[in-house]
Order: sequence, then C-alpha cells, then structure tokens
Amino acid sequence: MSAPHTPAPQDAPEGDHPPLTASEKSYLPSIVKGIGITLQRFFKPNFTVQYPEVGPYDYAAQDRAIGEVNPRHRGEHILVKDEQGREKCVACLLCMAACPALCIHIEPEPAPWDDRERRPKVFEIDMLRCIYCGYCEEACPCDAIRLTPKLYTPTTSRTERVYDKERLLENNPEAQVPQRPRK
Amino acid sequence: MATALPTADAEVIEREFSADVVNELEQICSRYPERRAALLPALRLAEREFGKVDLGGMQLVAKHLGLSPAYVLGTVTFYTHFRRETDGTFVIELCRTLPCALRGADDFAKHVEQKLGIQPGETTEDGLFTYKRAECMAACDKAPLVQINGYNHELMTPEVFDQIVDTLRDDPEAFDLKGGRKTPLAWHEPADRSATRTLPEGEKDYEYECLTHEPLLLRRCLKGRYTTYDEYVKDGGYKGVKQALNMSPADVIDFVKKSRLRGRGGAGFGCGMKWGFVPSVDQKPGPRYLVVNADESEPGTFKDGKLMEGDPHLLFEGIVIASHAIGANDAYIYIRGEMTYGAEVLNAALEEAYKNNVFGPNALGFGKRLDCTVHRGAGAYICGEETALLSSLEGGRGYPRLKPPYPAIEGAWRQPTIVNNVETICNLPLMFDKGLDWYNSLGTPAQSAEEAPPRGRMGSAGPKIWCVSGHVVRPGLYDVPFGITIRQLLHDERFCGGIRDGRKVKGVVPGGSSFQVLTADELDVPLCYDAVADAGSSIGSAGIIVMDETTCMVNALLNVLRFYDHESCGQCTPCREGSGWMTRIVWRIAHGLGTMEDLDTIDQIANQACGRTICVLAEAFSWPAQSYIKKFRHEFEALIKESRPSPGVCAPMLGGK
Amino acid sequence: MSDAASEVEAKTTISITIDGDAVEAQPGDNVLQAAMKAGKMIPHYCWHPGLSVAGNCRMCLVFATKAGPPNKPVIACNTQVVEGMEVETKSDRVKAAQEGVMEFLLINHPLDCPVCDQAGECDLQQFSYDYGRETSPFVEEKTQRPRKDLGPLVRFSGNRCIVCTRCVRFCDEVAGSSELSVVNRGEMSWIDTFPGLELDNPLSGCTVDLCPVGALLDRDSIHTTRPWLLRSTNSVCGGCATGCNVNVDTFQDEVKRLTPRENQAVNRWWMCDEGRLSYREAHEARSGVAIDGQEATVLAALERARAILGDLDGGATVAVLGTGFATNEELYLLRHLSSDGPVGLAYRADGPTWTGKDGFTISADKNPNREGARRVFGSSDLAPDDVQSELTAGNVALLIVHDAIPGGAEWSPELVTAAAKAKHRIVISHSPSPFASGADVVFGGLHWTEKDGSFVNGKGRLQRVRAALTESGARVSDVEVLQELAVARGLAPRVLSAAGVFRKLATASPSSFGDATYQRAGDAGVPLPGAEDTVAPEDAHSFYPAGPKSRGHNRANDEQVRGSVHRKSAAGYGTTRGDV
Repeated sequence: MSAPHTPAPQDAPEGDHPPLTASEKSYLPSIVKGIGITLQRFFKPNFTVQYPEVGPYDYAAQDRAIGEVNPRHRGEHILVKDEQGREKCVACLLCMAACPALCIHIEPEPAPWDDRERRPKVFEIDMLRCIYCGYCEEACPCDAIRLTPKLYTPTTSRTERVYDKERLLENNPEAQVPQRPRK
Repeated sequence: MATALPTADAEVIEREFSADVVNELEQICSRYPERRAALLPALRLAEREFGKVDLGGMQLVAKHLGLSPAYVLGTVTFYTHFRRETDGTFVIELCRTLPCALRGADDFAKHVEQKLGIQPGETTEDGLFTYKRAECMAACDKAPLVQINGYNHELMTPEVFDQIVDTLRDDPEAFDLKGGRKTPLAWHEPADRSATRTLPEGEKDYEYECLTHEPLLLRRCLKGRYTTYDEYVKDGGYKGVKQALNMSPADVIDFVKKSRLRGRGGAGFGCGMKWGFVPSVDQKPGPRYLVVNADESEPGTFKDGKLMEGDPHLLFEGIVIASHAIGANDAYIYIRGEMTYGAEVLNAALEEAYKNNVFGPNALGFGKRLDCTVHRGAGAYICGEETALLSSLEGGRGYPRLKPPYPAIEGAWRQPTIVNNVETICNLPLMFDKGLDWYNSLGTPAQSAEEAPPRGRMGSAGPKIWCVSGHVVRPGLYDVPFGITIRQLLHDERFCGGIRDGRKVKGVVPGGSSFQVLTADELDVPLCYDAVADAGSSIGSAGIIVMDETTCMVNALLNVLRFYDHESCGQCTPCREGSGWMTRIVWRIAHGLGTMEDLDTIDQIANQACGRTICVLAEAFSWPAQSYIKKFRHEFEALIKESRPSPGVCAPMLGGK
Repeated sequence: MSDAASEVEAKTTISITIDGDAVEAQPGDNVLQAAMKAGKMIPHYCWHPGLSVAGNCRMCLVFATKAGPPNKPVIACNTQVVEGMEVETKSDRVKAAQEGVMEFLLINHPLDCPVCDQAGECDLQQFSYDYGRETSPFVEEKTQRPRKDLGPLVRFSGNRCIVCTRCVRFCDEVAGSSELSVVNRGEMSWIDTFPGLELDNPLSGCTVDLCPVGALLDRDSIHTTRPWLLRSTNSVCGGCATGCNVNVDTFQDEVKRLTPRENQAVNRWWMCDEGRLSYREAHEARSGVAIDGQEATVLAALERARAILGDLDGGATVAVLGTGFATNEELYLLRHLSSDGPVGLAYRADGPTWTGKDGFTISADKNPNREGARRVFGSSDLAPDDVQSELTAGNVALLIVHDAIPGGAEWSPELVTAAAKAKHRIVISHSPSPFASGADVVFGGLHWTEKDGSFVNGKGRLQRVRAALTESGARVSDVEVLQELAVARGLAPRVLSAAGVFRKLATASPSSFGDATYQRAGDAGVPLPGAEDTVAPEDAHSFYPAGPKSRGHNRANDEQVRGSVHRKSAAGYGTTRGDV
C-alpha cells in the first residue's frame, strides 16, 4: 500500500484526495499492524526500572546497565560521621549562609566533648526547596555535609521531605567514606 | 617561655607580715613618690619572709600597696627571678646563653641532669634542688656559670659541682652559699676555695688584668672585695664631684657635652646631649629623677656588675654629679635581680655614703637633698631598655613605653628622667677630676663636618672597659681606651692571648649578642663607635663574644634567637610573634629539617619586624639573624641540603619547640 | 598682617592631608581619629576612644611627615596631628607594613572560625581580608594557651587572644575593678584573673564587645547564632533609669542578645550585665488575652472593651493604675483616659547603684520611665492610695490597670481586693497579673523590646524605643488598646501611631516635653526642658560605634532596617512603626 499522498499545500486542490482503497476503508490492516508492533514489543527486552524499589544504578537487578548514576551526581545529602561516630558538623552555619534556596536550618549548641566546642542541636534540610546545587558542600570547612549520588526518595507528604539530623546521618551509609570523593 | 602559673583552683594561703616587716615596707614606700613603686621590693620581702612568692604573698602585697591581686600576679609572672611555690630549697640556675654555651655549658648541663636526676624546670623528689636553665647572668668570662639561690658560682666544673651538691645533700646548712664566702661581703676569700672551685692545673688565676697602663675605671676593682668609703677617699675619690658641684648645672651639662662622653649601655647617644633635653622647671615643674641602669643583661656584657661590686663609690660620685646637672633630688639604681651580691654591696656602700653625707638632706654640704635608692629587678632582659626599666621601677610589668614622649621630657612618674648606664656614670668623676684635656686625649678624635659629611662625627672619647668572652685564652674585662683593633685585643699576649687551643677565630660579635657578627677578616677594625658602625656592626655594650672554628654558626644563631624569644616582653605583635617564629625556623634548620625557603622566610620576618615595634628588641633578633645568614650562609645551606642536624659547640634547644 | 593674624586666630582646626585628600582635624586628635572622622578607615585593634592608648597591636602603622624620623612608620593612634602633616595610609609601604603585622597576628591564631562566635563580626577576619596577604610561609606548630571561664558572663579562649589589652584597660579605667592582667611574657602571654577572683564587675560583658577577636565571648549567647542572621534594632534598655542605648539583635522573632549602642550623652559605649541579660524577660511568663477569665482572641477582646467604654456614662469615674515601665505615650493615654479620675503609679523597687571609674552609673532606680511619668502627670509620686480609697468607696465605674513591669508590680493585696469593687475592669499586663481574675478583659502587654514609644531617662533625656519583635497577629500594642478605649469613650477621633500620640503629648505639655519630636530624638535622644543632660542629638554620636568595627559590615546601615520591624497589628492597623 502506498503511503497516502500528501500534496504540497500550495498545489493541493481543495477536497481533492486520492480515493481510499477497500482495505484502507475497513481500517483493519492499520489496526493489525499497530497491534503487531505492540505484540512485538512484548517479547523484546524492556528497560523499565522498578523505581523506587530498585534504584537506577542497581543494575545487578537488571540485565544491562541502564542509567548508571554518575558518581558526581548531586543527589541527597548526608551528614558525615567521624571515626567515633559523631557528626563532623560543628554548626558553623556556613552552609546555611551559602544556600541559595534557604533550605537549611541549623541551631548550634555547645558540645559536651573536649575536642570540639559546638555541634548542631537542630539540622534540617527541606529537600523540596533544595536545588541540589552543592554550595553547602563547597562551603563546609569540615567535610561534614556531602551531596551523594542517591536520588530522591519519593514520599507521600511534604513534611516527610524535611530531613532532620538523624535522617541525614543515616541517609546513605555507603557514602560515609573517609575521603570526600574528588569532584 | 612561661613561668609557672597557678591554676584557677589553687589554694590561697592567707598570710600576714609582722609589725617589723610592715615598718620595713613603709620605709621602702617612703623612698618612692608612689606606693606602687615598692611592688618589686615588697615582693622580695614576701620572698624573704615566706621563703617564696606564692598566691598568699601576692594577695598580701596587693593589699598593702593598694593594688589589685591580678595586677600583682601579672607582675610576678613576668619576671623569672622570684622563688615560686614549686621551687625547692636550693634553686640551681645554669646559664645557657651564647658565651656560656661556647665554653661548654650545655655539656655541663648534661652532667647536672645526671647528677641531680632531673630535667630543667623540675625539682628533685626530696624537694632539695630545683634545676633551671637561665639566661645570661653577666659573668661571661667565668663561664660556665651556675647560680645557687641567687649567688654566683663561677668557672663551674663537674667535680666542684658534685662537691657542692653532695655537701648540700648531707647537710643543707653546711655550705655558705655566698660563693663560699665567710662574711657576707667578703668576696672570693681563699679561706676555703676548694669548696667553691678548683682550677684546672696550670691555669692562671683570673684576675682583671690591664697591662699596658694603669687601669682607669677598674683600678679599685682588683682587690676581690669592694672598695670602702675610706679607701676610696684616700685614693683620691670624691674630688671630681666637688669640681662639678661648684659649677652651675648648665655648665656641667656643657662640660659633659664637650667631653664627648657617649652612653655606654649600648646606644652610644651623647650623654651631655641627653641631659640637655631635660626641660627647665618653668617649662615642666616638678621633680626630676636620675635612674642608673644597672640591669646588665646583654649576653657577653659583664662590666657594670664588676664595677659596682668593686668600686661602688665611683658610681655614687658619678650619681651626685649627674643629679646636680639635671636637678634631680632622687636617684635610683635599678640593678638586675640576679645580681644578689651586687645589691648587697651597693646597699652596704650606700650606708657608708649616707653616714658620710654623700647622700642625705645636705649632700656633700652643698645645700640640696639627694637620696639614692637601690631597686632590685627580678629577672627580665627587657628591663634594660630605658622605658621598660621605668615601667618596672614604677612597679609592674616591664613593658617598654611608646616614644614620644621621651624619658627626658616625661619619664618616671611622668617627670623628666635621665637613665644612664653604670659605666657612663662612672666616667663622670674621672672627667671632672682630671679635666677635659685628659679625657679627650683618650680614644678617637671627633671629626668635623668636612671630614665626615654631613654633620661630622663625635668620635669616641674617654676610658672604656671591654668584656671579652668565648673562645679566647683569657676572657675577662679589659680597661683599654678606644682605638685598639679587635684583632689586637684578641691576639695580643698582654690581653686575651689569642684563641684557645691554638685554633683560629671564626666570628666575633663586638657589642653583645644583639649585633651583627664580624668574620675573621673583618677584625682589623678599631674598636670605637664609628669604625665598627662603618663595618656593619656596633660596639653596643662592649660585649665581645669570640667564636672559633669549632663553632657551628647555625647553633650559635639558634642560641641567640632563643634568648630573644625568651626575653621578649610580648607587648607588640611583630616581636612577640616574630621572635618565636624565627626561633622555630632556625631550630628546624639546626635539626636538619630546614628548607631553602626558610632562609628567605627569615629575611622576610626580619624586614617585617624591624622598625615597626615599640622598642628595638625586634632589631636585636633580626640583625643577628640576617648577618649570620649573610656571612655564614654556606653553613646553613649545608645543613639544609644534607638534611642533617648540626654538630658543634652549642647543643640544640632543650625540649624542642 | 592683621588679616593673617585674625585668620590664624579664627582657625580652630588643623589642616592635614591623608592620601592627598585635605582633612580638617581637631586639635588634640591623633591621626587615627582624624582619618576615621573623615571617613577613612585605618585598621587597628588595640586603640579605643574610651580607653588609654596602648599602641601594641601595631596594625595602624602609617607613614606621616612631621612625626619623628623620616621614612619610619608610626602608629596612627599615638601620633598627634600637626599642621601640614602628610599622612599615607594606602601607599605600597603602608600596605607592606599592614600585611606584615597581619601575618604575624595570624601565625599563632587557631583556625577556629567555624566554631568561634566572633565569626562574622571579627576584626581579625575583616582586616585580614581587607589588608592582609593571602599566603604565609609559616609551617610551625602554633602556641597553645588555656581556655577558661573568667567570670559568670565571660569565656576566654587563650589561643585566639592577640594580647591587645583592651579588656585589661577597660577593667582598670572604666570599671575600676582591675580583675584582669596579662600574665607571663612573650608569645606565651595571655589574659587571666587572680585564682579565686572572677571577672565579675557589673560591666564585665563590655569586655566581650571590646575584644576584637573571639578570645572573650559572652557565655549567655555562646554557640546559639551567627551575627549575619541577626536583625538589629536601635532601642533603649528598659532595665533602669540610665537608659543605655542598645541594639536589640533578633532572629526569627526571638531576641538573641542585647549589645550596647554608642551614645556619648548617656552610656558612651557601655552597658551593664544585668541590662544585657534583661531581654530574657520578653520570652518569660507572659499574660494572655482573656474575656471574663476565658481565653479569647484579641479582636474579640477589643470588641468587648470598646463596648464597655461606649457604655460608660459621661461623668463616670475611671481609675487608672500604671507603672514606671510604661512609655510616655502609654502614660499620656492613661492620663487622658482617667480624665480627672484617680491615678496610681507603681514602680519596681530600687536596686543597687554602681558607678565605675570613668563615671558610668547604673542607676538605683530600676524603672526606665519614672521621669517620663513625672513629666506626663506632673508628679511621679502617685501612690495608689487614692485609687484604693475610691475603689473601696465603690465610686469607680472602670478600673484600667496597665502593668508593664516584667514579673508584675508589687501591688498591695488590699488594692487587689479593692479592685473587685470596680464595676468594670480592663487589665493590660506584661506578666500574669493578680488583677486578671475577675477582670472583664485582659490584654497581654508588650515588653519594651516589642513596642514603639519613648522613655525619659533619669537625666531628662527623651529616647525612643523601637519594636524589634513582630509577633504579628499574636498581640496588639498597648498604645493601640488604650487608644481604642479612648476612641470608644469619645475622647479621640481615631487611633494613631505611637509617633502620632507623641505629637499630641508634646503639644499638650510643652513645658515638660519642649519641642521634642521623634525626628529630633532619632537614635541619639534629645534633652527635654530642665534636663540634667544637655547634649544635643548631633553631639551624642562620635565617629566610633560600639562593638567590633566589622560589626557594621554585616548589618544594614540604613534607617529602614535599623528601625522598628513592620508590625502588622492584630487589630488590622497595618504598620505600627513609630516613625513619623
């Protein structure tokens, strides 16, 4: 069947279309063709990733590496722990000052340790306001906050997306490596 | 380097002075225009009464003088010579500065540590001995020097030291600590010399020898004890002062200007010119003060102490003349705290002077009151700087003051004050007794403006004492007028007798450790203010330190810088931080951890600190650093390039920094 | 010749040039003062106009002619201006000197900025950025010095101290108590007290303001906030009759700290510790809004109050109880409302007075506006006896209680019982009041950090307080409530701002308030007729604000921000900002 002829606009006479053939009039071949394409797809390998149960970089669960996240990708934050398991953060508030989206809220308090003077009492990041620019990570003098390649975790309410200190400390245990990855 | 600071929860024992001591304190207070000035003497009283200066003593002194306890605490911790709570019965201080280090003080230190079993700063378990390393105690010709409870023990050897320690251990009362002297003011009496020192065989006994002519300033200092008033008068003393008192003060000042006498303390400023700056009573009413700077702490210098211990009346006569010239009714002799014996001599001689009306309500019968007071310091090199001395005299931390105003305009207690060195004052009786022609015949002549443009030069006039220490055969005091070259002084058999052990000289510091070093081929310069200045150094306080070829100059520099780091008062930023920084860098170089950039850094520090501080201590550590590196750069570079620590006479810094 | 002579006679300033610019300096000034008065900054740490010259930081090095040996730098803070002097502050050699000193200061200074409270208002940070060098070859170990609490309000961190001795000189010369001294010598020197004696003079907090670095920090507010987050409002402390000028620093509608503001006529650069901590009152027990003892909204309470006032007869007696903590506007409105009825004023009890060595006085009178009450009512000595007797006699139709004292005034129990006899009772109280039970309407009164108004201090100076906290929607200001009552009673046509009320007040009593206006009072206050203090507003500010120089870098300087917050009143009056 030849493709329908589409005359150029300027030389298409009004109402002058080539007549439809009988099979074209019944629409059946088009439908069969379409369904055939769909059926073919059933048996081809798909690349759907069962997100969020499976992350896009967890390609062991899939057969091919699809959408492996760049290790430099700026995803969710973590608060980094030191060797003793305490947060490195000294609540200097530089990340709060650097943040263009004003999404970090920190309240400092004196720390009970000998080797450190202060720590955050409250450390909250509103992940919905965050634009994932990474300025907080750049501003931090202590390597206390990092943006890890972890993509966002979908939630069903806005309040769940305000991460507090405990959540941020446990957010991505794989990223709690001693040396911040070079960027 | 911190002196021991009590912790916040330290116990404060309440203390009281007995009525007699309170009287004594009031007597002391009456000698000063303000009570606060009696602070250092009062602390010495507390030290005497309670055996140490502790928190209770500080609080008591604060109460009596109307000061806050914090102020007194700040004062006590500034100085190093007060006995503190942690000190044992016998405080043994071993000098560690350059002249003593050159003669083996650091090796001796190892022996001391072994014998006592403690490190510097510690006290033995039985509380008997405290061992400290101290800075130059002005006895550099008798190196290595040990002070025990404030009294000098010279030419210390391991054997004699062991003898002393064993004697003290057996019976702490047995040994007369005043150098084995039997009577309080006898000096080096041979009665039991074996206990004080044993000389190595074949060595001459070191007396002060001046062999070309009659000693001029030191002539009465050779007896081994101080010259009493009667002896002094019999020898022709207190004659020049009568000449001076018959002249008007303006004429006296003119006379001294014509004599071309220059300050002998280190700066070499014209004495008469300084006196001339004192304003008239109309311009500035109120009392004037004469202060004698006997805080001789410049490493390598030891003339003033010996002058005072041998001939105190010469100093007193000079004081009367100077007081007359500037119109002062009160004179204070600020003597450094470590010169315990010197202060005793001065006080005994002062009693004689008062008895014989040299001082008092009608001094020498000329109708004016003149009082003289001996004021002991407490261990701070910076108090040799005239404004720091005034701060210390007025009672408190020895901080140099901002200039202007200069002390001649506004000095002690905001009144015109003249501060002169001991030797300078001692020149005055001679010049008035023997006349200007005699005086000006000694030394080098003045130069007119044509000879030395643009303003001419004063030259160097009068007698002079040179202090030679270090690696010469005969270190000591040499009463030789200006003009003799360094090489002559060092090598002439009649003087220092050359370098010990037949070695060659490597470097000579002509004016005390604050000045630039001269190499072996620069020693033909005549010793006088102008020629040595032209050669790039200065005669300063005439402390000539001689270093032979065994000396590692890196270590020598480290020793010198450590001294200034320890003595910096800490007031202004460049000196406080720069002295420590430079010391740390040279420490690293001396330990084989230096880099080539370090040499540039030292230069940068020196340039950044010089000229930007309140006093010239910044120059005092910068000039040696720059000159040692300039003249002995190969030694520094060798240690850096080979990454090895320095060998050599001066051992590396104890304890590291 | 006579012209030249008269010219010289007439000239009272000294002409110098600084960096080529001609500057007229006052005789007796030093170069640093002359430069700063001309708007040029010379960095410095140890100099302060309220203290003696120490000259030990060496940061203000400049080159000046006629100041000693040529080509040797001199410190600007100790160099007197001389006619014809030429000063360099920006040449290469001055920059070299500044960079050198800056380097020396930083080599032993710890990298504490993230944990140090001074960050953001630290002179060391600011001057090293403006005048320092980027790198340094220093690789040694830094000196370690102790960290301890010097007193109940002051924490000392030895590592950060640059030994400028401002704190020592302050304790010696201003407080007169000399608790501090430099101890040890050289690079191991630091500041300390005598063991067992604390830094506890009544002005100890001022050492924290003076300290140019983070060595002395305020224990009360340590590790709670950062200066760049703070909004600063110019106000006056309500702790006593001295009336120290303060900055009220707030963040997210909470007062974080009070710091002194310079006023040469009142408090110079200082304020006392008690006043410094008095901001806590604003967040302590506060009275709520109630109608007949039941919690209610502000609007409902206003409705009810208007109704009460509207129902009053023409000749009804209105009794008024006020306090010495009320602003002039509130007192005026109270007087207006009482018409000729009985008035009683209560005051906070007297406390200890204290005078420092340089004359700074903490007043025994712990009320900020006793003098204002005297000027508004003609006498400040109005004991509540009249009110009590009228109440007991049952003559009082309406009792209005305005208790602005934090914690409440000490009303006598008889007075409180008598109050029940008033037909109606309206209470405006800062703290829960004994008059509240049984009252018709209770309003929550404002703290002095929350209101616009004016106080008159003990020396007769009128000074403005400004609202620093918004709490919009939560409260209505006392001035508004009282005016609502007045409008409902027919005594005034409409509700004005605090400025408007003041204008009425001043016009009504020119002998007490002269020609003072909010404009004239500004930030410096204005002396009223018959005042002991006669310093004009333009003479009250010097060129040297209180606190670290760098504090100005992080705060907006325009009047807009340093004025009151924009309070949207619960009653819907829009801004209650007191500016005209």
